[in-house]
Amino acid sequence: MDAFDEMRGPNGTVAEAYQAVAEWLYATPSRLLDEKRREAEILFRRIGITFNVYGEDAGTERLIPFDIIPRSLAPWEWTKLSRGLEQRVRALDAFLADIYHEQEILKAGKIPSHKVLGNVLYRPEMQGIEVPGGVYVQIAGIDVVRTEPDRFFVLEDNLRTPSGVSYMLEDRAVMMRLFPDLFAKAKVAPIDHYPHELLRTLRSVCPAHAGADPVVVLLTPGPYNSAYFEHAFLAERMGIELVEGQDLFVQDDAVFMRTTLGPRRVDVIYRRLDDEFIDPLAFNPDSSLGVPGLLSVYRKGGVTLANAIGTGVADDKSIYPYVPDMIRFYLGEDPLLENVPTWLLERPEDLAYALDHLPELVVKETQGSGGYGMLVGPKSSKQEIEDFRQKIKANPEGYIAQPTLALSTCPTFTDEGIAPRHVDLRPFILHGKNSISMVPGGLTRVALRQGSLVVNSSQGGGTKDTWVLEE
Amino acid sequence: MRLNIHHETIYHYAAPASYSIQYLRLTPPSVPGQRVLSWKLSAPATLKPWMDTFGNQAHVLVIDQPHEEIRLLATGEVESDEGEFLISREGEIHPPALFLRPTRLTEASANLSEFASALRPALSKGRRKGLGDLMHAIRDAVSYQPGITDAATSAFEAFDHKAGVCQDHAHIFIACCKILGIPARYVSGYLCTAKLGEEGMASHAWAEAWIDEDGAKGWATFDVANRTQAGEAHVRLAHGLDYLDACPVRGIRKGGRGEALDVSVHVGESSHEPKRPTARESARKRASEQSQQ
Amino acid sequence: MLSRTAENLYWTGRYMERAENLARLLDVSFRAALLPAADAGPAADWQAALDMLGITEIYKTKYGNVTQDSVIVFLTLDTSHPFSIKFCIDQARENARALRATLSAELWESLNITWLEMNNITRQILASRGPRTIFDWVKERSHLFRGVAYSTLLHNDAFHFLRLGTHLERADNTARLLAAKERSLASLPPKSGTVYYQWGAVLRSVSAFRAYTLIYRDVIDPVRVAELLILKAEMPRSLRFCLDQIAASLDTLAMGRDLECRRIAMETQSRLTYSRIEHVESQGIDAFLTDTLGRVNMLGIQIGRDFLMTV
Repeated sequence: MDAFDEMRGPNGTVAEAYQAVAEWLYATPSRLLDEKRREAEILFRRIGITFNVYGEDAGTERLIPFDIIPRSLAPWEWTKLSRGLEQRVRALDAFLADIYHEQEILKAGKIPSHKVLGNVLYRPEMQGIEVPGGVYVQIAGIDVVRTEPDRFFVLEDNLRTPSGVSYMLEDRAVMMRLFPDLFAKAKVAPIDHYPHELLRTLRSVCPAHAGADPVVVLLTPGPYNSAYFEHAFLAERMGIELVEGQDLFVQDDAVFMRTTLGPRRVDVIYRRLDDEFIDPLAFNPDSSLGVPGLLSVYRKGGVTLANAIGTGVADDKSIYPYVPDMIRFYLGEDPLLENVPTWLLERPEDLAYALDHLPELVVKETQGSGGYGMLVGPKSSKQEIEDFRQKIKANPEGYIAQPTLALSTCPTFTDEGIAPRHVDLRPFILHGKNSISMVPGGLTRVALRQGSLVVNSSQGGGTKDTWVLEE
Repeated sequence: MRLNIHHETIYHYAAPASYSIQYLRLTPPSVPGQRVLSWKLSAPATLKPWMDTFGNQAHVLVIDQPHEEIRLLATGEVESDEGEFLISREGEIHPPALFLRPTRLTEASANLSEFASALRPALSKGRRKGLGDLMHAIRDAVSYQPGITDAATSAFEAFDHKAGVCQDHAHIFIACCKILGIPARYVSGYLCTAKLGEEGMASHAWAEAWIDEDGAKGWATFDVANRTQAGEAHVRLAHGLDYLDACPVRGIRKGGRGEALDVSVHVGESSHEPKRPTARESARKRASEQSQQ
Repeated sequence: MLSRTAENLYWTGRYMERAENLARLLDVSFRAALLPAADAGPAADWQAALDMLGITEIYKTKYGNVTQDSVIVFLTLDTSHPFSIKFCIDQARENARALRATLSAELWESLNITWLEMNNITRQILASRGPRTIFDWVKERSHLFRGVAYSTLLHNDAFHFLRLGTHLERADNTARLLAAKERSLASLPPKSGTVYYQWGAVLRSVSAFRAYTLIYRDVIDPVRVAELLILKAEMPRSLRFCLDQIAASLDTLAMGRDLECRRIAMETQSRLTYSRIEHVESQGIDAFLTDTLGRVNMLGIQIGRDFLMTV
C-alpha cells in the first residue's frame, strides 16, 4: 500500500507547507538532531508529562514518545478542515439536543430508535432538560486522517472527555525552546491561548444565576487517573481549582466546594470523570469519585457540566455511520468532511461481507476505545484473524468494520534515521454559548513502528508538534 | 376505595454521620387509578423537590450537621380504583421503547431467556393475556420467600434461587418482557395487605408492560407476587427501569458507622370505624439501599 | 483554597517534621546510650524513646526485648506503625503527590528525591553506613525541604498551612521530649554527672547546645534548659517560638474571622509569652508541659474543624 507522504511527493518535490521543515532537516546534521531529541526527552521528564504521572513506582512512569520533526499544514488546508469540523460539531450537538427532546431524527426514521434509546451511552436522565447555554459538547476532540492531498476522513468523534490537549501545548513549548530559529523562519500560527479559550468557553455556558464572574472548576478522578497530569496542567493554566468528588457537596439545590474560607458555590464543572461515576445516587452506586446529589442540581439548572451527561451516544461507533445524515438532517448541508465507509455487523449482509473480507478490513468494537479490541486485517496473522472471526460471530452487534485506509505519512525520526510514519490528527473544538472556536492544528499522533496504523499512546504511538502556517 | 397511609423510616447510626444526602421518592402521583387526597412528607431538614429522570416527584434531603438519626415520615390519604384499565403515557417524558434498555438488575441469563421464550406462543394470542400467563409462570417458578435475596440481587440470580420477594418478581417479569421485545418497567408503592394480602408487605413493588393492541395503548400492571393487576389495594409511588430508579430512599453519608434501620408501614382502609393498622411491617435490619462513604 | 489542598499541605509539613524529630530522638538516644549509665541498664535510653512515643507495646509484640539495633530498625524502617522515619517520609510524599498544582517543582523534586533515597535504605545499609549517618541525612533533607519551601513557594495560604503543620508537630515533639526527660531525671540528684550529660544530650538533640552556652554562659542547669526550650522566643525549637509561628499563620489564614483555633493559639501563646520560669517551676514543669501538650492537641483538632476536611 503506497501511502501519501505529506512532505514529499512521488517525484521528490517538497510540499509548500513543508519548505521550512525540509530546509531545516537538510541543513541540520543528524548528530545534532539526535542531541536535540535527547534534550527534548529530558525536558519532558522535567515538566513531568508522563503517561501515568506519579504512579506507584516512580521508575515506571512512562513518557509518550515525542518526535521532533513537526507536522505542517498549509493555511488553506486548515481552513477547509476547520470548516468541516465546525459543521460536524454543530450537527452532533443538534443531534444531542434532538434526541434529548423531540427525537425528530428517530421519528423521521433516519436512525433506528433502538440504536439510540437502547444505547447504554444514551442517558434517560437527560431527557427533556435544558442545558445551560443550550450546548451539550463544549469540548470535542475529533480524530481526522488524511489519505490524499485533498481528502480528510473523520475516523472518530470524541465527545465525552477527550484528552491530549496538554501534549499539543507542551509539544509546541518544547519545540520553540529547542528550535527557536525554525520558528523565526516559518510563520506558525500560535496555539498557547488554548487554556484561555477553554475558560472563555466554559464561562459562556454558566447557569443564569451565576452572573458575570462564574466559579469554574475542573473535576478529576484523582492522581491515579492516567490523564491526571493533563487535568492538573489545564487547571493551573486556567487558574481554576482542580477538585475531586470529595471536595464538592450538594446543599440547597446547589453544588459547593469545601474551602478553607468555608463552602463556595460552584457554577461550572469541567468534568474529566465519566457519566457513570458522576453521581452515585443516580448512576453507579459504588462510585466514590463523584458527587452524590449532583444530578438533582443539574436537572434543575443549578450547575453546568461540561461536557453534558449523555454525550457519548453521539460518538458511539454504532452511531458514527449516521453522522453525515445528521449533517443533512439538521443543517441542510452536505458534509464537508468524509466519513469512513462503515459496515455495521449487526446487519446480516454487512456481517457476511465483513467475514469474507477480514484480511482487508479494520474491525472495531462499537464501544471500545484506545485502540484495544481492534483488528487491523492487513497487519494481522491468519491466526489473529481467525480468533477475531470467532469473537465477531459471537456478538456481531458489538462490532463495525471499515476499509483499511492508506493513512498519510510524515517524516519521523526513527532508529534507522528519518523515515515516513503514519499519522492522524486530533483537533480540539470548543463550543461556547454563541461560538465555536479552535486553536489551529491539534494533536498529531504518529505510529512509530514501521507500517503500523495504530497511533494510540497505549499502543506505542508518539506525538508531534502540529503546525498550521499563516498566510 | 380510600386508603390511609402512614410510612415511617428511621435510620440510626452508632457513630454520628457528618453529612447525609438522600434521594426520596415518597410522594404518590395522581394518575389514572389513584387520586391523592392529602399527603405530607416530613424530614429533619428542608426537602428540595425535583422531577427525576422518569418524571417522578422526588425530593433531595441534605443533613450537614452531625446526626445520629434520620426520621422520615410520609402520611396521607389516597383514593384508588379497581378496573381493567391501561395507564396512558400522556405527559410522560420517555417513549415506551426506552423501557427496553438493559440494566444490571434486570439482566437475563440463558436459563431465563429460555424460560421467557417458552411464553412466545401464548403471546401470539394477545399480548395482555400472554403476559398474564407469564406472570403466573414466574410466580409458579419463584416462591415468595424473604431473606434469600437482597436489594442488589439481579433478575436471573433470583430466578436461579427460585425464591425472592416482590422486587425480584418484578425484576424477573421485566427481564422476560425485554427478551420478548416488550417494554416493561418497575413500580414501587404501597399495598393494602388486608384487602389483598395473600403475600407481600405493605411496601410493595410490581411491574408494568406496554400494551399496544386492538386500538388499546398504555401500560398494563402486573403484580407478580400476588398474581394480579394493580387495583384498589395498590398505591403507586414511582417508576423506573428497575429498583434503583424507583426505590423510595437512595442515600449516601459520610461517617455514621453502624447503621440500623426501622421501617413501619400501615396501609389501612379509611372508614368510620376507629383507625386501626390493617397491615404492619416493622423491620430492623441493615439498610441495603444505603451505602456508607 | 480547597480544604483538601490545605489538609495535604498541613500533613506534608507535619510528617516531614516528624521524620526529622524521629531522627533527632534516635540520634540523642544513640549518644545517651554511649554514656555511663548511673543505675539503669544499657537499654534504658531506648526504652525511654519508645515510652516517649507511646509505642512500647507495639514494639514488644513484634521484637520482644528492647535492644539498640531493634529499636533503631523499628523507628527507622518499619512502616507497620506511624512512628518510623520511613513511614513519615512515605506519608509526606503521599500528601504532596496530590499537590501538584500547588507545590513548586523544586519542592516536589526535593521531597521526591528524599522518598526515592529512603526507599533504597535497607537494614544492611543502615548498619554499613552507620545509623547516625542516616539520621544526619534525614535532618539535612528536612532542612532542605523547609529551605526550598521558604524560598520557592508563594508566601500565601499554601505556605502558611505547610508551616502550621511543621510547627504544630514541633511543639508537640518538644513538649513530649522535655516532659519525658523531666520525669526520668527527676529522681536523680540535680548536680550529678548523669544529669549534666543527659540534659546536654537533650540540648544537642534540638540543636540548642551552643544556644544554651551563648545565652546562659553557665553550666547546664535543668531549669534553664526548660526555660530555653519552653519560653525563649529566639530559640527555633522552643514552644514559644512554635506558638508564635502558629499564631502568626492563623492570624493570616483567619482573614479577620473569629475562629476558635485562633483563639486557642493566641491563649496558649500568651501563656508562653508572659510566664516566667520561676512561676512555671513552682507549679511544676511537668504539669505545665502536660497542660501545653493538651492545648497543642486541641489546637490541631480545631484547625481540622475550622479549615480542613475534618467534619
